[in-house]
Amino acid sequence: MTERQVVTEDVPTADAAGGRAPDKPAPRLSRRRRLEGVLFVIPAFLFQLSWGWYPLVMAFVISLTNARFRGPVEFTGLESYQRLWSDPLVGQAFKVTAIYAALSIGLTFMIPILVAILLMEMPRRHIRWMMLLWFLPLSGIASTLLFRYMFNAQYGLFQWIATEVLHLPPQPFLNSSDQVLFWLVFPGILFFGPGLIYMATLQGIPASYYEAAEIEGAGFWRKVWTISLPRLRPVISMLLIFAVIGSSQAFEFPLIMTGGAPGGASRTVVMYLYDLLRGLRYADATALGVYLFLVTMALVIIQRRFFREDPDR
Amino acid sequence: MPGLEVRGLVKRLGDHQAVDDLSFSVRDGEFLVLLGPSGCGKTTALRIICGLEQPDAGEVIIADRPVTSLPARDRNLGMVFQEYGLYPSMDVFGNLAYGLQARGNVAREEIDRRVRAAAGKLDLTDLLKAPITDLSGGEQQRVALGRALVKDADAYLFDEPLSNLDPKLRHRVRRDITALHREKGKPTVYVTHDQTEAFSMGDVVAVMANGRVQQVGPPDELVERPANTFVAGFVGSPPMNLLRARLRAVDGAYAAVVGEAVLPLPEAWTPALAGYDKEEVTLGVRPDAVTLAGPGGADTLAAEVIDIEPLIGEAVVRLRLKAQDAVVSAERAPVELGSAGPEAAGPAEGLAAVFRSGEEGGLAPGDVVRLGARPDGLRVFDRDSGQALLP
Repeated sequence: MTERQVVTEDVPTADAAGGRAPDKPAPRLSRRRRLEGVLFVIPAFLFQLSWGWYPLVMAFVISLTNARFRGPVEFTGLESYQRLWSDPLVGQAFKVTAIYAALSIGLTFMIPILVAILLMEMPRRHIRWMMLLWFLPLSGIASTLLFRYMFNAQYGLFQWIATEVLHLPPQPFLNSSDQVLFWLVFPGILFFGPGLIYMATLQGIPASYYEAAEIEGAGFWRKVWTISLPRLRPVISMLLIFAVIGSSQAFEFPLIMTGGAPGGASRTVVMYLYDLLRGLRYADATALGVYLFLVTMALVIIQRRFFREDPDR
Repeated sequence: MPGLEVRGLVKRLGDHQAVDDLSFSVRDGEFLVLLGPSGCGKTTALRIICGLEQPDAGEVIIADRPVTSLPARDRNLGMVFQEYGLYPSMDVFGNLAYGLQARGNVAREEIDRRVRAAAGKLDLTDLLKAPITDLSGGEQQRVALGRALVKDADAYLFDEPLSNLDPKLRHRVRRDITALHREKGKPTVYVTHDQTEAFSMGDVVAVMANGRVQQVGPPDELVERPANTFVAGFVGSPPMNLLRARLRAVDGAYAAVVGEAVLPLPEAWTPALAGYDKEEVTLGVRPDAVTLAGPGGADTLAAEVIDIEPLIGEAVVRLRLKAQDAVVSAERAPVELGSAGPEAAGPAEGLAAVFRSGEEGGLAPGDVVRLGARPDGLRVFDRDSGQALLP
């Protein structure tokens, strides 16, 4: 009893004094563990500092100056922000990004949830085919270039399907400012979807839940609502954050597919930021980045609120 | 009028005949236990009854309603699973109310009333708002029981509900199950591989092996008059000893000859055995019918004591016979019944005897003794078919 008391009293002292009690094994061990922990964290911390936080802070700083390619740099306050605020192209870029994000979340994020749930009702064979589609190891740029050809209004595969198979008049596809965003999102419905992760999660649900529900008299939708969706919820919540961040920063895919054409109808915020950079307007470009950062943060915070409670606790 | 009946169920799983022409019926208020080693088809049978599996042939009739082609949700059953099958995203109330809500025709107040009544009976009232994941295994299984309790099902099914619980909790849940059965007065089918559970709960126990019912009857009957060598080698702890024996008529009565020992059979069997044309049989000897014979009896079984396991009020003594070749372990039981699983391996290395406290006297491992057997604890089986020669 007394011995135990001595030890518990001594632990904090030994910790604080660091090595004052070298003959006691427990504190030494914990100090060693902590040292190891710190050593392991240092590389990641440095990486995060130099590639994450430093650019972020610098972007804020630069956005408050008149930084250009050359010449003296002066502090100009919110001048860049005001200039962007009245730039109609900025408004258009945000609108394009918002529509693009809404479409891609609606089509490539929500639909796979439904598809995955319905697939689970099917024979294993079909499930494998769909998983294969979702899992195709497509190279990003290569498949993007491939899709550009498929969307070509003269000789593309989609045009052939539209005219020869569906007997529709020739479609403008990426050349129409009304349709371009939809067609940009469209390939994602079949490929690159988060469906695989949903499937994996659904397959991890013990069959006994569904069986018990079935005997209790639950129909298909009730099972989905009371078992599948609650189980998917944490996954949906996490993937939604990635989807929101990812689609609000859409850049390379629309850039390669359309370059922002027609007439800026597919120019996203990051693409416009890239244009500003190429025009050597560094301050404006970083200010635009800060705007985008604020909007994205706001969305993520709202989304966290919405999904706050954890179903499994 | 049977409350639940299955007729000629057949189910193949892959190339394994899981259920092979299974038939039985359970009356309202009757508690039937399907007892068998793992892989004997008892769980598959239960899953066919509740509609989670479709039989290849056969019929399921519940409350005089053929339900074979109905989906599980239209069969109106209460079922409790080994892994509880509760919904982790809901609290206890939600789980209890699930079935009533799914039915859609029960008023909200009625659901509330029934859930509270069931929770009261199962001591779950304080936990109604607790999330399922905060509950212990025993509490979770009681919630699963409660879910069966709140509704008026036509039959209640239990699939090894105690297997995941530790012994202390088992006792409580077992009593709750019996209480549920009494209250509902409906047919209950209870699947288990645990004999103690089966014998303490079941009015009637159906022993299954290889997809078939080997014998149906009250627990005592199974122990005293097993219908075949499988049941004999499976039921009881320790199960019946099986020995190779020859029938011999002595003075107008019959006796079984094992090695040089002669064990007299009950005189009542004489007419039946007189009509039997084979000499080689398998003799079943109930462990509690083994007696110690006085020294020198030349026609008794010579055996050496291997070990003694003292229990409360009795002792299990394992013996190696001098005529050890005569012992048939259940593994060597006839092929048709074979592959009974480890539980049925039985007295693989000798003879088991159960002596009341004191009866075993000063026995110690290594002692050589002479054994007899009380005629009322014997059973004679056909060597080839494994079936008992007398009912």
